[in-house]
Amino acid sequence: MTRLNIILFFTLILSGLGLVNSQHKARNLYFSLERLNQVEKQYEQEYGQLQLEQSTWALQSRIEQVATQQLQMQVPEAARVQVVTLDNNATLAVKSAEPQPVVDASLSGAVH
Amino acid sequence: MALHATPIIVKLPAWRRRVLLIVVLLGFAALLARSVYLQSFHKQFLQDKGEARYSRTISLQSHRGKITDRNGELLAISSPVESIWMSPADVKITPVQVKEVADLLGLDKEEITNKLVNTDREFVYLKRRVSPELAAKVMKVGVSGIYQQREYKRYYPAGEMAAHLVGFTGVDDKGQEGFELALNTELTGKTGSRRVIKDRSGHIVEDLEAVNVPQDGRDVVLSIDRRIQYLAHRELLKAVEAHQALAGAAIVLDAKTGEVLAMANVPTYNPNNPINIKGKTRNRAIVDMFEPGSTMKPVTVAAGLESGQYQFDTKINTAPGTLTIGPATIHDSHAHGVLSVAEVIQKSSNVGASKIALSLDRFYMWNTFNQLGFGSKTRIGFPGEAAGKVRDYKTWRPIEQATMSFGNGISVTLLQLARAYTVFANEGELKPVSLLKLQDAPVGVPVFSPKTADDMKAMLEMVVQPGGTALKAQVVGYRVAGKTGTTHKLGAHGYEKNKYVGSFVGMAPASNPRLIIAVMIDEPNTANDQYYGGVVAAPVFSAVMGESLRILAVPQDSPNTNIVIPSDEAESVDDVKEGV
Repeated sequence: MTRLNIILFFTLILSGLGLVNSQHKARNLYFSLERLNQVEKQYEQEYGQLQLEQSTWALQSRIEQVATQQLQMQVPEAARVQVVTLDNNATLAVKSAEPQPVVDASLSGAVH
Repeated sequence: MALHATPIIVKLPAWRRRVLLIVVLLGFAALLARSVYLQSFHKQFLQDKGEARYSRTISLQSHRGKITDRNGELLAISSPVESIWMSPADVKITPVQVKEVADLLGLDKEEITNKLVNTDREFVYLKRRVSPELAAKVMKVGVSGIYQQREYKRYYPAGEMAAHLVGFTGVDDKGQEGFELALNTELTGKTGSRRVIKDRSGHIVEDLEAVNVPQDGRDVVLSIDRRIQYLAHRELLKAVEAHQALAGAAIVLDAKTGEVLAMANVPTYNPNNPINIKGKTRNRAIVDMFEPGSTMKPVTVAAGLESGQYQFDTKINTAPGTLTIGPATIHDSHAHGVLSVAEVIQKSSNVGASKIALSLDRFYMWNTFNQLGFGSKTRIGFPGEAAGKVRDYKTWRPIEQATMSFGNGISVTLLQLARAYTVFANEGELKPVSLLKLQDAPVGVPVFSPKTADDMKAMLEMVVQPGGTALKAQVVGYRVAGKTGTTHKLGAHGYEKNKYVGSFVGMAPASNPRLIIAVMIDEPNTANDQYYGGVVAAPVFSAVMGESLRILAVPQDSPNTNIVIPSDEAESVDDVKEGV
């Protein structure tokens, strides 16, 4: 009887210590989860800021300004654009019978 | 034995022992009762109080959704900023530090010292919404009692060019205008909360109950194409400035789906910093009504074609250029003689259109207007949309029926007008319009037969050709179909003599329309008669259409040499002015 009590007593102590230990570990893990969540949030915000920055740099008005002023580019006049006929495009040929079916070559960078 | 005195036995009364026993027992009973009371009846209150000592409820902010264009380009996004605040009583600051902080924040030194004097207040903003980088620098100065607080500011990279559509939010992050207002609930989401235990140093140690997860706001994808929006804004601004006009609006519609690809308004404002915006925030394309003028003629004439009474080449005598109905007389700006129905459109003859209208049944004409959506809201989901005005056909007098045929006595929004033209681009089907990106093309409502729609498209092509009113609407490499409109503005006392609205609505490529563009210029300068729709609005159409079709890689349906260079003289002769 006494032996059983002693065994149970020590088991109880061990289990108690185990509980404390696992509680401590759980808190540590929880703490790092919290920190990682924070980091995730921060990255999300940074992503938003980068998106905003990219979007601002890529504004049409800015592209146009850089192209025309810095790079001295210009839209080619109609006379300087060669229009290539699409012979194999049957649907297009049917739809516009009188004027020759054409495709805009300027799309593929006809800036000379 | 004498020494052994018998101990004196004092016989105490028995009740004393009992009293003591009872008192002690009563004491125990009181303790027991108290503990029972605390443990059972008072338990909840005590537990709550206890928890309040170590648990905290944190509110979790939801993130406001983004607004993007159809290709995912940003139109509005929330980004963190810091607000710098201080608690004057706690601040310990040296004059050097005052200068340092003032320089960083762009404030006067006096401003800071003045705020420091008032030590009663515990919370004073030094400056709200500065960039996180700047805030970090200010914190680095290391003044105790100065703190930063995270807030979110809304940024609009597209700035003023899409301001009317996107709108803006106030300081409280609530939508004030445009889609920020219309879709505020969806964009805002729901704030959440969590109850946690914090340790001594403020770290969260444990959740006490299930986290009430915040729902971030939904991202909104508009039907707008930012590239086309830019073009529309640029060209509209150019035209409004060139003609010293009061205002202007332009809409670009996808002819097949009814999606709005661009909607520009001038004057505009910067939504990133909305100050002095009175009168500039109105999205005229949706909110304002105007008398459309001749851009309405295709509707009348199409109704005539549909009735079977008229064909493409039916002859109508418009001589002598006037038509008298009762006390009123309708004028053409130039007498034309006998015109075909197609030429009535091409030359924009008021008399011709009136004669067609007068031969139609009142109800039939009203019903056509109605089916095309005039007089009722487009339900596009934009705050403050106007419905336009089409009077009940029972009240129409003949003169009104005649003037309505060329767009006087009827009020529409530019959006309604652009939508009505989808019937000519879709073989007689009217497409619903949308400002949100659609997955599939919506089903249209048939209004005209395909033949009527195609005939009308052919007539509208003649408008931009020699002999028509809008040579300036031509586009290199594409066939264009469209119609000009010029009307006197309605004032307090009927039509204003010298105030006009010039408009143009058209589509391209005419062989298979991809885009519909409607342009309206409000009160252009009337010097040199440069106020006609064909002069003020058609060039905007042409420039936006040409570049947009190129951006969308729409194959050309005409050689590059299709343009007839308009001479200004020829045009003003052919231009037509409406008004009764």
